[in-house]
Amino acid sequence: MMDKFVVVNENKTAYRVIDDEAVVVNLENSTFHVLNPVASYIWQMAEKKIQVKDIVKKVSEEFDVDFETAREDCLEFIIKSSDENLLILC
Amino acid sequence: MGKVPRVISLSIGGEAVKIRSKDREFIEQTKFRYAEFISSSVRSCAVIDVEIGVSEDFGLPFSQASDGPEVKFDCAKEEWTINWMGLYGRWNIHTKRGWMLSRPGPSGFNSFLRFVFSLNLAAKNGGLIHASSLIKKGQTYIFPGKSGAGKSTVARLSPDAILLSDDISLVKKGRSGFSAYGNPFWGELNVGGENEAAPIKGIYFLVKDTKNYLDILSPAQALRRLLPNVVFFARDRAFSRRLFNFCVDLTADIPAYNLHFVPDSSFWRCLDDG
Repeated sequence: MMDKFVVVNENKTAYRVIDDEAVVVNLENSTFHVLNPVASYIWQMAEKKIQVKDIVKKVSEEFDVDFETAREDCLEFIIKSSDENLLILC
Repeated sequence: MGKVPRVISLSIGGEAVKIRSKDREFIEQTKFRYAEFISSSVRSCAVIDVEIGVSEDFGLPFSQASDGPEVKFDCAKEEWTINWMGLYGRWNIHTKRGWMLSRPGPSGFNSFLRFVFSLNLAAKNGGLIHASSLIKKGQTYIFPGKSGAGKSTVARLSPDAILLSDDISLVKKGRSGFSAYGNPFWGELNVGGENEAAPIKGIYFLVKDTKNYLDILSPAQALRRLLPNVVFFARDRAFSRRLFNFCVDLTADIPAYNLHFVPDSSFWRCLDDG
């Protein structure tokens, strides 16, 4: 159902990827988050607007996991990050 | 109180600042408190005018917030304000002119000075870190940690090292990399740092333990551990972005470790070996 939703990083964040892990700072409240390699990969894709289904497809290919597992993991990260105002889901 | 302001020039971390006040007692306290950092240079680029009194006398809003300072940025004036527990201050980031009002006593001015330095350093790839810092053999060892982590303990157990600070480390990036500078932002030790500077050898996050050893951290782990220890007065995007970039650069350039230590001077053996 969420496959056609579009995801993009909030512009009130800054990040760097170090050793496959993205460290993301919410510049509004100075909270920071360290992302695992899959979440870091999603984060970098969301620098530009991208549909959820495209994220899932790329994660499935990049990390060699089946589509359903990738979808579950991606949605979990995307919804959590949206709740924390790191990603915009629209 | 005289009519003509008295002036003191300070040099802290290579940054010159001129302090002006008509309050003789404040000037005398400041001369004593900041003796190590008094400068004869007349080329002070930053100026802080200090008034001693209570905010009601100046028609200023008074904040009793105990959960931290109220910090605001006025875009039109390009001016920061801080209001906290009897301290009211303004700082213009471009003209480098400031004004502050504080109750009698040294703590208000010291807080304002930390505020000003945190803003100025962020513009120069520098920052203030909750950390004690010590020079040994020409290199600085930085020991970050929140209150109770052991920053002052480490400083107290190192009588043969040069103390830069037991509470706040002033770090800047120069042509030859990151260095730490002595400063008057002291903690439990109640002793100011020496006005010295040296390149940073390593960052050592303090972990109280029953034996001494070092765990090397990856740059990502180091960044994760460093960020909560950086002095963030201002919740502002541009300012936070600069500080974040400073932390990324620092942890990419300087090796970082968890220092497991017992509270005696024997921990230096694993640092000397490391």
